Amino acid sequence: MFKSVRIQNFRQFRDLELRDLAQINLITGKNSAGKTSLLEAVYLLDGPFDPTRTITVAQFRGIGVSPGNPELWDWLFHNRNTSQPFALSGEAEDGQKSTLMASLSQGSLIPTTANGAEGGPGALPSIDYSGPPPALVYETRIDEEAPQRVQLAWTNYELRLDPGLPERRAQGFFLPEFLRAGPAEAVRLSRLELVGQEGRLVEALQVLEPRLRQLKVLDFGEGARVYADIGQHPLVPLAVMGQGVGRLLMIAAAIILRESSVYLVDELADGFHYTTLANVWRVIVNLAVEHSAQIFATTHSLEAIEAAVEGSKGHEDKLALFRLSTRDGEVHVTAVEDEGIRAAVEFAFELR
Amino acid sequence: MSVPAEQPSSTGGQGLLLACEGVDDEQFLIRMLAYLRIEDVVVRKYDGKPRLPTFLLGLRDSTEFETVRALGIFRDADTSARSAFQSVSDRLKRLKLPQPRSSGELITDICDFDGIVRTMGIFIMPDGQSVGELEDLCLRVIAGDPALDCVREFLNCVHVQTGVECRETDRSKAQLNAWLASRHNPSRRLGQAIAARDLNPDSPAFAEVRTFLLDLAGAAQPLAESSS
Repeated sequence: MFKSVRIQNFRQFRDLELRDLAQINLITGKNSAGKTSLLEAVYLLDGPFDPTRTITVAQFRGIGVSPGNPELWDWLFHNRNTSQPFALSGEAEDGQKSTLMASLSQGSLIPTTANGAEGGPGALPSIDYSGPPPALVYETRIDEEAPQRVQLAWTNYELRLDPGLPERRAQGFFLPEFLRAGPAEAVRLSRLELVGQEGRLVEALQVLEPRLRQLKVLDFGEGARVYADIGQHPLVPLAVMGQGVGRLLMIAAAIILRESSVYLVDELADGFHYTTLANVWRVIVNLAVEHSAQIFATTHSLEAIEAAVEGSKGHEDKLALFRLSTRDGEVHVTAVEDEGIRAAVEFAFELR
Repeated sequence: MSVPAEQPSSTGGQGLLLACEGVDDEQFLIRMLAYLRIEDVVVRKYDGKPRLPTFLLGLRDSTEFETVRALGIFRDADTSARSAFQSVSDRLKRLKLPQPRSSGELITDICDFDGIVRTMGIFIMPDGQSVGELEDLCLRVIAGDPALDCVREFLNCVHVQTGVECRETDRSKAQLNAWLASRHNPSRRLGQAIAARDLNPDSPAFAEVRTFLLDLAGAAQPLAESSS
C-alpha cells in the first residue's frame, strides 16, 4: 500500500506528489486534468519491473501497439519530450521505497511518407523510420538495492522483454472506464470456486441484484462464460446483466482473489445508478479493508463523492480525496482528508 | 466613513466570498453589496457559529476555494468581541490560512495550504469591540427614532402584562423586529428594510461594514482582471 507517490515528467505532470495517501483514494478534477494519467502512473509504479504494463495502458487508451506507431510510448513523457526519462517513485506503508526511471533507448519513430508521395484522401502513407525502433528501458531501484534494468524492445515487429518477467509477479489491477466484464470473469469465478469464496462475490453483487442466488461458469463450446441464477431459468448471462454488475464483479472478485495490492478504477460511478452508489462503495470499502487493498478511483460525479462518504462510514479515516487542477500551465494536486470531504459535502461545496 | 449613494460599479469577480451566520446576515450583506454596487460576490451562510469550523474546512477543501481571492468572515460578538475574533482567527490558523490582526482589518498573504495569495478579513458584529450582533448595529442606525422608545415600551408592556420576556441576548433582535413591524410595510425583514431604505445603508453606523466590503472587493479585483 502506497503512503506517497511522486510522478515526474510523465504525461501532463512535470512534478506531482501525492502525500498521505489513504486506503481509499478518490481522484477528482476537470476534464484533461490528468485523473486517468495519475491512475496509469500508479499502475506502472505498482509493477516496477514490468514495462509491458505500458502496453496495457496504450491498449486501454486505444493506441495502436506496433513499431510503426510513434505514439506508443512518446505520450507517456511530459510534453512528449522523450529526451528526459519519466520517473515514478513511491513509499509504501512499511517504508519501502521504489523508484522507476523509464526512457527510450534509441531514436524516435517518426512516420514519413516514402519518396514524398502524396496519397489521395484516405490513402495510407508508407512508413519510413528516421531511426531504428526504440526500446523502452526501465531502471528500477528498491530501497538501497542496486538498480535493475529491464528492456522492452521491438524485434522483428514483436515486443521482447529482456530479461523476462519474474515468475511470481503481481498481476496488477486497472479497470478502465469502458471495459465490460468478459471471459476473464469466468476465470476469476473459477478461481473463487476453487477456494470456496464464490459466495463472497455473490454477497457483494446482491447490493445491485438482490435476486442473485448463485454465479456459475458455463461453457457451450465458445469459451467459458459467467451466468447468474436470479431464481429463474434459463440462467442469465453476465453480459446482459448491466454494466454495473459486471464492473462490481470485476473489482470485487479481484480484491477477494488478492490479484494486486493496488486497485485502479477509472470513473468508478460509470454503470451504477446513483441510488446504488453508496452500497457499491460500502462493498468496495469493506472488501478493501478486509483484504488490505488500496483503491484509487477517479470520478466526475458529485453523487459518487457523496456516496463514498456515506459508504465509508465506520472507516472514516480510510478515505481521502485528491483534486487535480491546472494552474499556470502545471497540474497541481490538493489533498482533502476525510474530515474535509465530509465538511464540504455537508455544506454542498464543490469537490469535483 | 460615509459612502456616497452613487457608487461606481465594482466586482468581486466571483473571487470574493463572504461567510455569515444566518439568513438575516446573508440578506443584510446581499442588500449592502447591492447598495455599494459590488457585483459577483458569493455570500454563504454557515448556520450558526458552532458550524463555522466545519464550514471553513469544507470551503477550504472545495474546488470553489481555488477561485476565491478574498474571504470575509462575519460573526457576532455575542458576549465577547475579543473571544469571537480569537475563535475565528484560531480556526484560520489551524486551516493554514492567513489571519488578520483585528476585526475589520485585512491581510493579504500566501495560503500555506495551497500556495495561492488571498486576502482574508474577519468582521465581528456589531463593531469589532462591543458585545452584541448585527441587530445591535442596525439599532444604532435608528437610534434617534422616537418609534424606538415606543418599541421598548411595547416590549416592556408585554412583559408586565403577560410575563413573556425574551432572553437578554435576544433583546436587540426583538427591538429591531418590532421596529420593522411598525413601518409602512410591516412584513419587511432586515435585508428588505435595507433595500427599502427603512434602514439607511448610507448611515454612519454602517461605515465600518461598508469600508470592509469595499476593501475586500478591491482585493478580489485582480482575479477578475487577470481572468478576463
